[in-house]
Amino acid sequence: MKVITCNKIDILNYFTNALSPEKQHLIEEHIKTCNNCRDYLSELKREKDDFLSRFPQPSYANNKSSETKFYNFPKIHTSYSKAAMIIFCLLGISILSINQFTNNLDFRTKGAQGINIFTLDSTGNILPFDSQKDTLYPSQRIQFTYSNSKKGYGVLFSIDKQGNINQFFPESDTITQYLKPGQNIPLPNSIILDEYVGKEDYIFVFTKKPESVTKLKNKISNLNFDESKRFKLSKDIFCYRISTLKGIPK
Amino acid sequence: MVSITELYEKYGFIIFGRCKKILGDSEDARDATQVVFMQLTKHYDTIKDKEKIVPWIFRTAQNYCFNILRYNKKFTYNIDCDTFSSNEFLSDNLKSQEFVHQVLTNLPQPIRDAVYYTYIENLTQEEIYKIIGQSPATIRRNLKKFKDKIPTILKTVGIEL
Repeated sequence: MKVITCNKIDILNYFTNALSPEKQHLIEEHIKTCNNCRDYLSELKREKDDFLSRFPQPSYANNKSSETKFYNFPKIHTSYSKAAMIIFCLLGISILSINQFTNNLDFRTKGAQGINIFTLDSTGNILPFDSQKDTLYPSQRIQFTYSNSKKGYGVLFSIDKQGNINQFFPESDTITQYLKPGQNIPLPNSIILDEYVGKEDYIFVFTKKPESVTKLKNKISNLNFDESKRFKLSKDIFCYRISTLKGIPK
Repeated sequence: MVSITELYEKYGFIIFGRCKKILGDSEDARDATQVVFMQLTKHYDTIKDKEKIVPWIFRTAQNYCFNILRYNKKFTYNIDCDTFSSNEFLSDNLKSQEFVHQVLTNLPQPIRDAVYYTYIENLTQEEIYKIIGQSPATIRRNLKKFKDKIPTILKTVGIEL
C-alpha cells in the first residue's frame, strides 16, 4: 500500500482539487490520521475565507473579458492554414484601423493611443468639447474616451490646482484597468464636475501591462505639467494631459 | 473549462500569501497578487498537470516579488544588532521583513530559494523539491553556503556581529 508522508504541497493540491482520484483518496486517508496536516488544511480554509472576504474579486472582474473560458483549441499545423490566418488578421486590422475621430479632438498623439473628451447634456446626448474655446462648469457631466490600437491597461487621474490627485478610472482598484483595443471607447462612467472653479488636469496613463496605481500616482505627483502636454514616464507608460477650465454657470 | 472567477477563488489566496510573506505590506501584496494572477490566467491552459500549478504559483510569486524589491530598493537599516547572535540568527531574524528585503534580495537565486523556502515558508526539503526541483542534497549545500556567507552579507549591509 502506498504511504503518504506529510507534504504541504500535496495538501495544497488536495485543497485545490488538483489531484487524481487515487491520490486524493490517499491524502484524505492521511489527513484523518495526521494532526499536522489536518491543522494545515484548516489554516488554508481560514486563509482562503479571509482573503476572499477582503478581496472578493480580481480588479478586472467587471470587464466582460473576465469571464473568458479556457479552451484547448487544436493547433494549426498546415502552412496554408497559417498563411490564411495571417491574411485574415491583416484584413481585420486594416478594417479596424479606420479613423473614427471627430474634428474636435482635444489632444491627439502621433501614435496609436489617444484620449478625447465630450460633454453630456441633460438628456445624456454626447456633445463635442474643445478645451481651446469651450468652458466647462460645475456640475457639468463629461465623458472621457480612449483610443488604443492594441489591448493595454489604463488609469485616469485628475490633479487640481493644489496638487491633489483623484482617481476616476478604475474607481477604486489598485491596478490599472484592462483596455480593449479600439477607437473612441468611452470609459465606463462619466464624470460630474464638482464645485471647484479653476484649472484641473486630467492625466490618462496607458500601460502595456498591469501596473500599480499607487506607484503611478507617486510618479505623476512629482511631474511638472506646465511644460508639456505629453510625458513619457517610462518606455511603457505615457501621460496625456487635458486641461479644463471651469467657469461659473450661466 | 475554467472561468477567471473560479481560478481566483481557488488560487488567489495562495498567491496573496506568498506575496505578503515577501512584501509584508498588504496593499503591495495585493497589487502583486493581481499581476501574478494575470500571469496565471495566461499560462493556466499550458500547464497540463494541475499538480504543477501550486509550485508554479510559489515560484512566480516569489520571483516577481523579489524583483519588485530590487526595483523599488526597499531597504531599511533598522535591524537591532543587539538581537543578533549567530545561534538565533536563522530562526529569529530571517522572519524580519527588513532582513528579507536587505539580504535575500541580493543572494544568488539558488541560495535565495533554498533559504526562503526553508526559513520563510517553513517547508521541508521534500516540499521544496516539489516547487523548485532542488534536490535535498542541493538544498543542504545551498543552506550551508548561505550560513558561510552570513558574516560577509551582514558586513555588506552594514551590520557587524
